[in-house]
Amino acid sequence: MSVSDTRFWDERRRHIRTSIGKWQGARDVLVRGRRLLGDLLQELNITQLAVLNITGRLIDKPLALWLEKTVFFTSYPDLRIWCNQLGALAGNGQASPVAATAAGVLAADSRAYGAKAQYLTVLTLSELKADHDAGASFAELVARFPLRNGVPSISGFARPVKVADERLDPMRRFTAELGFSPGPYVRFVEGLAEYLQVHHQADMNAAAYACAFLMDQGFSAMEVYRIRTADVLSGVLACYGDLYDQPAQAFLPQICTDVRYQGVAPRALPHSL
Amino acid sequence: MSSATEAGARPDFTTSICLEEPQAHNPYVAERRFIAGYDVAELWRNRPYGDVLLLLLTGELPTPAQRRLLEVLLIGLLNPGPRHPAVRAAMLAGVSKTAPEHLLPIGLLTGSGTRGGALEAERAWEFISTHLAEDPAGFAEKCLVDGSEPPGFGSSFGTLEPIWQQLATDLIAVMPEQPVLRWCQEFAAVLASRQQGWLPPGLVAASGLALGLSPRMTLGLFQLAIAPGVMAHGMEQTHQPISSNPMLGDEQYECV
Repeated sequence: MSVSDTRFWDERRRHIRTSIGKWQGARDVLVRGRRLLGDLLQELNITQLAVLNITGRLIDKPLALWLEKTVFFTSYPDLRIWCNQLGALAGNGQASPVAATAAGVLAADSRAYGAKAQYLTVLTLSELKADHDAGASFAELVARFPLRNGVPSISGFARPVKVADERLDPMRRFTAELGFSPGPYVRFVEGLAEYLQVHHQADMNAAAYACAFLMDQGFSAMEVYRIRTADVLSGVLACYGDLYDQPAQAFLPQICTDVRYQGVAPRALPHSL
Repeated sequence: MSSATEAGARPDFTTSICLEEPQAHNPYVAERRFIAGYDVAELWRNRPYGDVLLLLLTGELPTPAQRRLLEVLLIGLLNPGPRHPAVRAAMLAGVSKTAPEHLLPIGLLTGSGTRGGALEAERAWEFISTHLAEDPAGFAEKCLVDGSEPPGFGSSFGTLEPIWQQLATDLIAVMPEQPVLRWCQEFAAVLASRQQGWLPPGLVAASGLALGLSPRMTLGLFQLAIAPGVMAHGMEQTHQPISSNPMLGDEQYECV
């Protein structure tokens, strides 16, 4: 048997080559070629630094503030929200706050809500807008999606509860106040939402607007996924803290029949084969 | 009486896996618990762990061959080795004094991806089931010509990993006529000409299909299978000094 060519791995064994950064012991830290303590500490806020770390892109303060404000819409301290229930359960079980947060953040890696949903929304909007630009009508675009309760199931255009999304108007308002004008993706989702209002009594949700805005700012689907990863953190921790000092089994206790069994009826165990 | 016990009340969840029979005097406490209709107490008295695991995953008790197939698979993957990304992650966390209760989740999360992780097992399940009607050898040739990377199969550091090929052979020996396992073995045999073959996600996917598991249950089976090694290696490292895993020196770290 011939000797394997392992040069690729040999070059990387106990050796790292990167452009993201480096701790320069006792002096400074390089972040994408900039000095963290010498320069960035004075110049950037935490969101600018986070986006720089995540994407390599140094964004302006208004965009950083926009990202911070939108976290107001993704981390409600409401104990009914799925990821927050995990925070509450972890708190009531006195797991560590980091475990609770990790569990809640993982829960929001969901195609129904949270970071993954925003990733999927960017992918969907990208495809829909490209087809719209190529001549497809809103009716043709919408017809591709299955109806759920009479409403086309389009990522970014649905909510678990059928009420108007209270986040949309404030988001539009502060977007304008921060000096941003609607770009091509925001104009596209506003047009699609108008079509859905007229023909399906539906609307976009805040995710569609936020994702379209970030697409107008040049972020890719994967960059949005990464930037949005921990958005639910503070709501999860609020719920964790709320239950931490309460007695054991205090959070939404369930009686046996609260979980409805619909499987095979009790049966005798056959002799082992 | 709780409102949830009233007729027509909406349950919190529905399940076909587990029935809990409430105590007469306290509906929050289960008097007996059943898995797919069998009393758990009867199961622990009369059945091996693997039988109950398959009952949990499929809703039925296994045949002797299914029981053995699962056992071979679970032993084969019980410890994918200290260099496997999931195990290595738990070891890194363990040696760096991470809270020990996090080590298993850390390993499973790190090993959850589409490259060698749990998601690859699910993709391999889809891949195999989609192409079962095709001639395996011809389809493998096509994959090699296309340069496509069939999930569940491939090389490791540029070569075949013999342990996984041996595990595949031994799994097939348990159920030699099983059509999914035979298809996969014929598929892998052609790939071997390019130093490619079975990988752990493919082994779990083929076994999952042979055992009647859904793709998502197969994903979960991959996690269950590697969990013991992840946990044990991680816990072992908690007893080591943090200095036993030294950081790379500056000369080993190039920032360009």
